[in-house]
Amino acid sequence: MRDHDALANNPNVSRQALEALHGELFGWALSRCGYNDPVAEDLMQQAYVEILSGKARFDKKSSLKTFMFGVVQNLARSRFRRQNTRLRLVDSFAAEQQPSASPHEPDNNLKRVWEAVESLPQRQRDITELVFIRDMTIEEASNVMGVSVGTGRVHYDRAKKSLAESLASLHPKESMQ
Amino acid sequence: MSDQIIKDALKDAYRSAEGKPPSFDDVWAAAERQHQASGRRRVRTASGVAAAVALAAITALLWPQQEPELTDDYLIADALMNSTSWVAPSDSLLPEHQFDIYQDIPALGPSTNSQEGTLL
Repeated sequence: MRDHDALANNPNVSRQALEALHGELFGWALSRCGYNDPVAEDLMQQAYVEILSGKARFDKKSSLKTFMFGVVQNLARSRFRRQNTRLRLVDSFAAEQQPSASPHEPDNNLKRVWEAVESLPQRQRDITELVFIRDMTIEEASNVMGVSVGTGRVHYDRAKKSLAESLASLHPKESMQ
Repeated sequence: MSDQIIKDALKDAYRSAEGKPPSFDDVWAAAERQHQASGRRRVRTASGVAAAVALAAITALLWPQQEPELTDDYLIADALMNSTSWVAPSDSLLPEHQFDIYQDIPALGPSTNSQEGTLL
């Protein structure tokens, strides 16, 4: 592919294709940084710089969507690895100050769904988001997360089982079936 | 509980949490500016390194050549001292005392020279 707006350092990527992914990619970036808008926007900017410079080079081994999600995932990992200790300290302090860190208003169904999601281990939460929200296959999601398909499938099954149990009270009729 | 119910519940929750994404054009323009700035920074760094290397080369060429310092490398005292040894000869190898002492009184010939009536 050599679109008219293909990037100089990434001939298989076009600005138009990135624009089509922008909304979903921003959602993924948000969930990488604890739903902090400015940090997510900065993460997106860094991802685009990687693409513009050709440091992250798309060679069509996967879909562009999987590739871009992987770029954001790797950037977030390397960015927050060094800050992890500090963030853990800040989080523990914030948890003492504020009993709930949910982005939703209290006492509604969304909050309960969100709590069910947040109770999942990180990898289960990631594969749940990639499969259920970003409409990826388990194979694509595993690729983004950097785990084998078998491992991804295990995380997916456990997450789904755990969510079904947590959400059963919200949908009593379905849980009886 | 079906996958679809879980999916719908999660989609609502995520949609509510994510809100509206920033404009693609704004983020893209910021990324382009950052990319161009880092390109200029790389050029400046490369120019600086090239200038420093050139300066070092010119300095090395123009630096007055000094005569090499002469060293007595043909005689290394430490090596010499370590490579030789001296031990005293045993007493049996020394000459005996009798060897140096005259055993007989030497016979002196008659003197014919005289001074003031006395033979020298």
